[in-house]
Amino acid sequence: MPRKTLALILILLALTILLVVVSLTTKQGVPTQAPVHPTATPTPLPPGHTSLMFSPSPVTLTKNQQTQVNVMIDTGGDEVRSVELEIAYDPKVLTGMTIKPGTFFPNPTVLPVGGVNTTTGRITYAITPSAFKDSAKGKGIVATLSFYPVLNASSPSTQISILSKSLVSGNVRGQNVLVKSSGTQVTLTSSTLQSQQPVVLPTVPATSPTP
Amino acid sequence: MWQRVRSDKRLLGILAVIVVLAAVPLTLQLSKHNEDIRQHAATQTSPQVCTTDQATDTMMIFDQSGSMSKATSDSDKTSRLKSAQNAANAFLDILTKRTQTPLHAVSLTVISSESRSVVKASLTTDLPKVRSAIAALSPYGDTCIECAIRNAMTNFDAHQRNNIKNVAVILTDGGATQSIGGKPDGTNTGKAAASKTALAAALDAHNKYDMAFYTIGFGDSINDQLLIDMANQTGGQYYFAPTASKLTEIYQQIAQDIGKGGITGTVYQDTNGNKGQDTTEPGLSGWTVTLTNTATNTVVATVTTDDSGVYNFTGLCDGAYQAKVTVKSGWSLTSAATQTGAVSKGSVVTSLNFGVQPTPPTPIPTNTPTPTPTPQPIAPACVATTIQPGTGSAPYTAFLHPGSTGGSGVTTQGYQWDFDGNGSWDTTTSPDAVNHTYTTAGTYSPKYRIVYTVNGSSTQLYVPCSYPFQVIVSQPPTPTPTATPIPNHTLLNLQVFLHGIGNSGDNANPNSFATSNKNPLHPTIRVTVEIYTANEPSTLVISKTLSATYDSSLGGFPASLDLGTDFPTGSYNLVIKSDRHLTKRYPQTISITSGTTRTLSPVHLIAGDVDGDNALTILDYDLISGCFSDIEAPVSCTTDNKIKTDLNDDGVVNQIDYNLFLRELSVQNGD
Repeated sequence: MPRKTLALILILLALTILLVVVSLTTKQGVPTQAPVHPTATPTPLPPGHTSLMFSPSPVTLTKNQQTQVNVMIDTGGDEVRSVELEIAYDPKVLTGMTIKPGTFFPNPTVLPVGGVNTTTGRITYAITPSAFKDSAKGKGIVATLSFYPVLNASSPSTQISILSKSLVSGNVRGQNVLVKSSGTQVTLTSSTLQSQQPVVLPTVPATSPTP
Repeated sequence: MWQRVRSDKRLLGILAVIVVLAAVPLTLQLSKHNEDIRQHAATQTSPQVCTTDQATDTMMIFDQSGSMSKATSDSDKTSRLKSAQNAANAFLDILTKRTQTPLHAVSLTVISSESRSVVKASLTTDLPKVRSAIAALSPYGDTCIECAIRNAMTNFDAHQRNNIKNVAVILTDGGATQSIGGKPDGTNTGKAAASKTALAAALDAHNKYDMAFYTIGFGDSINDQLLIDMANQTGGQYYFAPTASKLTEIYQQIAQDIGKGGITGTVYQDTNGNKGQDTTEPGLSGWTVTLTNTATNTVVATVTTDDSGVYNFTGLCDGAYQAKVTVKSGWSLTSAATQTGAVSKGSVVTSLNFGVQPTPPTPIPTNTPTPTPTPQPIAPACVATTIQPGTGSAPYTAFLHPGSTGGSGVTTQGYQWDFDGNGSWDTTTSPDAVNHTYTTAGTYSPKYRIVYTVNGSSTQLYVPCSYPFQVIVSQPPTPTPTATPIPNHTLLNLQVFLHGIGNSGDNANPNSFATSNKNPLHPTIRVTVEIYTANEPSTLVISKTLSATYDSSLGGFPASLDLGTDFPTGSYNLVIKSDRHLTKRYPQTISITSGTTRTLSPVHLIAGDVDGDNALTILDYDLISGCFSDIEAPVSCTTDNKIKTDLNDDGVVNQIDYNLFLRELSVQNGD
């Protein structure tokens, strides 16, 4: 290899080493800072922590048999003073729907709102302790639904949903602390879908509110 | 030939070595450059770190006053209105692209003269409809910002969605020159009065809907201070747009921000160390505040306070955050060094404030004997006065008498008054009782505080007091009508009845009003009337709020609505609304003939909507039960809630109110 070529390559090597050193030195001079992750979604912190759900869930209906499903509450630490349920079900699949107070509120008062509309399949139900100063927290049964499968129901399964209009008052007066509600799947056994004897439906006496 | 090939090969080899060797440092340098870009983004003030929008209900308030016909600038002869329309379209375009769910709803209300400051598009997710309404605007009239906000609120009451972030975006090219019920007044005094009512309206909207105001000043004659106050006091942001392109940028920025959360607060000099910012305590500019996401423990952004001491983080995702101020040398904190707040559903967390004061010099210890301890001074205390301010029609001069005890080792300097209870002190120190003239009808809750100094010190200190009375100022008496009716004005005579008051029963017993209160404590109420076209699609023609005063012979609240001289003849649907009552739609279509007076059948409004969401729910029940005081003291009740839950307005929340609410519950939702 000619000397000139060799010399040129050596110069270039030296230049490369110099540039690498400069580059690395400059990088170390940049102050480090925690990078921002634009796609990371922080955990939401809602004003309340209360959730509503059904138990048991899912539900399997037995022919000619009344089924009871509890509306459960988990306050997640909230002090809860009243619950307003807005529940939807399919009246073509479920019949004889009634609702009664659970055990979550001691001495509960049921407020005179809507009730069960068996035509539209909507339940509006509000429950609160009798004493204004009382509240409750923890887990428990707010209300209990009772119903039967419709004779020769057209569909083998249906949903019972807790609608977003439902409310739970707690903590600060006038504040809704409900953050989550879950519906349930109701499945009819194959025998339920066939011929079935009509059933006599029980009635639930209305509860009058007393302050 | 072979020699040349060998020479070319050598050159190619050298070139290859150059390329390979040069690539190493170049790659490193580029890599470092990219990192710099990322880190630059990380250190930007209040960066957009959230990529998802929360749903919003936005009250868009748009100036179409006469001055909007002026050229945008000397170099841009496009009218201000046209420039603003283009910019607003850019705003709607961004929101429209995010309306898959749909996420965003917008209403449009215009700023003009009082009768023309109306809702042009009801709150809707049909944003092209809002765009069409903007395109149809033409410059006209004065600048009644209060009118626009109040009318927008009425529309909001009827159409807002529950549990949604609420935002207002106001654009104006001038200062407020008119208030509700007042004449246009372009003098400094008139502008000051109109600005005050406009700010009060914005604060009402903020308190009622937790609404943040994004304010935009456009042009060369704006009232910066009003717009700054609106933004700062509601957790929003003020922008100044000197050009059309800047205005478009601002609208686009707001469209990016409104669906996300924010955190704002003030760093102030807490002179008296009471951990609250008093009116005499200034905000401090140039202080550094750092925001950390507490879930990920990462620094989100660092900002510095502006001239007012305000700092602002925008574009935040829902989550919990911690703000921390960097204390400058020579200063110490009077508040906690860190403040935490939770952004939920895109909310703007306000008032994460930091109080600081100069660190006193360290005293030099001396060997002088310990002095005899002097008794500690005792501050003066508030005493509830029994002297009532009286009532009357506007303008009404109320006699306001404070009450206090003298304290010990202190000198009482006098009193400061906040006549309208809006949180702003309206007087400097006054020696004793004062007379104040209320020019506008309304119910006012004045406050006062005792100003005193500790003997031997000139520093003024304060004791805040609550004034036990409200000042109720009614509308001035209507002039005796002349024999000749005013031609060409279209008038609607209304008779509004409120359940539980006067000759109005309740849902369960509509015709039984024996137990209803015949002497309401607040005889003047606000009634809002919305008129919609009867033909489909029904559109809002006018929305107007007026005062109605109780007529004991009628047992209700008569009111007359002047629709002006140019109201078109036609068939309309009417919606009536009053505070704490469900919205009621007239069951039948109303035919209105221009230039005539139409007397409508009485309308009875359902009571109990304490929280103003146009529905009776357990949340209203919760507030009523908290204020119930028939058997024992209320469990939990504020002064404001006491007034709201007193459904029959007799001054006490008792069994009558409770039973009335239960009887109203058969109807849960307003029309």
